[in-house]
Amino acid sequence: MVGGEVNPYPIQLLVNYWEMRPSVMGARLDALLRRGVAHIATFVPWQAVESDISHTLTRFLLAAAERKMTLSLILTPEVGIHYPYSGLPKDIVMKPENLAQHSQKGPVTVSLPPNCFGLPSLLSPEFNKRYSSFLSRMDSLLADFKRTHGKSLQNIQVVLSGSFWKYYRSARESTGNPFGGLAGDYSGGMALEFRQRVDYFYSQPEFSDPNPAAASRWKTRAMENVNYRWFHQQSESVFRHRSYQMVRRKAVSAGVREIELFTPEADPALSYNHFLQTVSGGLGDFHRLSALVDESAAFSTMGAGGPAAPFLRWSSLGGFRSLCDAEKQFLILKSLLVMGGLGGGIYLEEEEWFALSASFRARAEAFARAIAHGELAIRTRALYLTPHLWSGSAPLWRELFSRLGPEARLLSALDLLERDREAGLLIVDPAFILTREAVQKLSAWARSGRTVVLPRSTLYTELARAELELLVASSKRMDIDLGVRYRVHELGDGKLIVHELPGGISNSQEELAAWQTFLTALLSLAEIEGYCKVSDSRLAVIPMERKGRELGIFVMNGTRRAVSGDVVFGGKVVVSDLAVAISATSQGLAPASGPGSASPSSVPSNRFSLDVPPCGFLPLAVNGLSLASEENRERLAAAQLAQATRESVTAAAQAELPGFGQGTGAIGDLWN
Amino acid sequence: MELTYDWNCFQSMFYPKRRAPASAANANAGSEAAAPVFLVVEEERILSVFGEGEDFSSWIGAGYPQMAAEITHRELILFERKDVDRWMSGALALPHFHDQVEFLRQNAAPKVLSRGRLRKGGRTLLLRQGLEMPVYRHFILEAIQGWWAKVLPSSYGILIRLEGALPGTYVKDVLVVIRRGRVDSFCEPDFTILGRERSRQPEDVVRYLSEKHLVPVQGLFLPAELWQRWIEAENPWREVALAVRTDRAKLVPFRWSLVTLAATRGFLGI
Repeated sequence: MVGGEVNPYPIQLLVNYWEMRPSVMGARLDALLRRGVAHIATFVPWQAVESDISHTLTRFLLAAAERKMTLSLILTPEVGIHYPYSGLPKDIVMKPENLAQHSQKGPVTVSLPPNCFGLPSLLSPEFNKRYSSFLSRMDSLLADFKRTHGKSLQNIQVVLSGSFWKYYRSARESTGNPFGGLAGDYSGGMALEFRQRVDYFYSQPEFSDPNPAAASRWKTRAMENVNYRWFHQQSESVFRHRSYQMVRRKAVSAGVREIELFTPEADPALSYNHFLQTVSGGLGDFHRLSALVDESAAFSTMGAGGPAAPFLRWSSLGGFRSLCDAEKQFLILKSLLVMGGLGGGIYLEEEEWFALSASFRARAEAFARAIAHGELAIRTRALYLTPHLWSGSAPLWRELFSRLGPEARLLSALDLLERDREAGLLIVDPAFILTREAVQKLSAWARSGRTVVLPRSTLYTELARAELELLVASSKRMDIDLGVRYRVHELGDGKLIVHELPGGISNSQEELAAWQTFLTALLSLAEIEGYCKVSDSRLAVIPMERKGRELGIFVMNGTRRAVSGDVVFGGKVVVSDLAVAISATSQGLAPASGPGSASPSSVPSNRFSLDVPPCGFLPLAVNGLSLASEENRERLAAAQLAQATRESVTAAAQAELPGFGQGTGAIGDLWN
Repeated sequence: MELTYDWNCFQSMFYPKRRAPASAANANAGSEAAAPVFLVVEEERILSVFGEGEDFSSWIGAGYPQMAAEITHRELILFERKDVDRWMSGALALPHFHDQVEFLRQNAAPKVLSRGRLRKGGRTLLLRQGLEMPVYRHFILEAIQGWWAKVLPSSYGILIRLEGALPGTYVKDVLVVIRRGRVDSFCEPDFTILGRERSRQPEDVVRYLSEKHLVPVQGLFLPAELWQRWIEAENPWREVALAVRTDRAKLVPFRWSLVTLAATRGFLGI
């Protein structure tokens, strides 16, 4: 995970307080407590708060506090809430001037009950005014609650999500590759805001170098796509910061958590699918929903106060409801593993959860507990830096994602890099604007034993270009041309790779092949290799790291038929049942680790045959795998430590020794 | 809080969960007719595809003639992307999801590539316009939105109370308000004000709802398993008429005219 923390509640049940009658609220919470649920989550529909004359929310908070239940209040407007217009005020949604438009100039519709509607623009002045008032009201409500009920507020966590930004996509562009097209709000009201922010951004001195006229090259029509991406990412960041500040004015002691919430059933990629299911009376599309879980796990978002953990929500309003139990269980377990493994989790409706079999719930809860205790986590091995998270990325990202799955993550904030302790490779998108500060941050990241891949694009400022030239001038280099021309430079303990863009290739297949070869070389240079391979393409693997640096893999069969296949490892290993190992750990028994502790029938081998049932998961504990990545990680940690020591020594020297400055050179030069 | 459009409650009653169909392979083997495959296309390119029992997502981006040539055992039903966008935009003006679904079903005019016309090796593909979509509708909604609308009052409510619980549902009471033959609102009514005893009395709850919503309300009280049987029955109105006659289902207030309508539909199919 990228800077994430372990989430204590990977499975959270949603209880819609506004659907409960005050007279049965207590009884309903008591029933949950009897079933062992002490933490619940609820959306707070904006419209429900504005029209809450009977103070239902306060009563709900009180009822939860009386029972010492912990509570997550999800405040930001979200899609798929069981409230008309998903809880948004009707008068805002009904005004065409408030509505968002996707890049193809159409409304962004959400096709979920209780009614389909067009999403409003989060940049619309009227929306923002009302939204600020809603947040202030919530802030006051929580402050009042604190005044009257003191410590009970500690059990309440305010949750701010990423809201609608990721849904501002055209259904047409999202059908093949869900995040393949340009995302963002292209409504009329946004255009003025766009111009103003672009002018402001490029008025920074760095863009006017070497002369003020140079700034105009950044604002040309050719730069429009780049600028739109930057603008949409920046708008999202501003929105998050504003929301974060507003809910912390009075009720500062309420914990605020930022998350990125995905509701696959409401995703534009499924809009046409919904239409087809509606007119045909068909069931949900299990395969598309499953694919969206994979896609959603790739994003690493930054909130105002730190990284926003990814969460995924299955509602009872869309196609998920009509799936059979086996398919639901598959999706729940898959999303729990990928989202939970990255520090997030899943939200489920209370009724949906308890309608599942007790044995499945026990199994899922065991994995959730392991995730919550940090015994299972997905390790991020490669990163891709993009100017806008939700807009289509270059083929290099698609290729990276297809090879590493949830171990490759997409990010747009350089701040997230500083928190990363795991990834060994970072690829920068050709549409990313590179300033001097960005180049410095990237090179500092690379120096600590990592590999940074930069494109040779026109999107460098003059200062950034000079910085890069300075970096590479003193380093050893190697020129390679395998379809994509690139140059490898040594940088401290790490590597810096600068590549050309394969513009001369006319055939898209050839271009794709060139990128594939290039990526193979990059992964090899960064010493990233897969843990195992499966012989049947219908099977997929989620690799998770266990406490004690061992490996756990989940072999998934996302089809409706049993699949037999082999799992092939790089060396001889012993595999055992991961579920048993986890339950042994949780009961305080000695974990079954190491070849000696494997069951008598386990024989070290590099190939294992498996029969995976339809919509099934096989959790395997893998022992004895000599993780090359483990050695890499130790080397990385040592390099990071060395880098940190070097920086602190330099900082101390600058502070203490008069005359010791930037021009003095490296410490090594000083002594030699 | 009583929601005006309580979809969870409405769908648990009127959009029952269906069983997943047999896989396409079974259908192919001749055990039953294969379900059609639905496509949203732009010119010839497939944008979205949905077919029960099989994953067709690998066809996205390909041309539908290739798909038709390859998949000869299932009919292809095509919708043009521009039309779909237009219909979906048109549905946004309607107040709730049920109306929007009905709007889409009424307006969606697909083209069909019929089974039997397609052979591997590529003969000319023939498109047929204007297909009546084989859509499931709940028998009560089907009736009240049909010609019954002409004989029933312009505004009224239907309260359905199920005794016992249906598997996978928790709702026992649903009030559907109909205006001019269309579903106007639906909710799980709140009887807190009546008290525990009175809220169990069918006459009291019906009177209370009539006064609250200012429309005549017809109550239907029955066991949950009977409701489930009606849903699965081939001729549900016949079952309704028989259940009312044998007192397994109770109409409050009892109206001969309604029983006659149900019996006519059940026994004569009108």
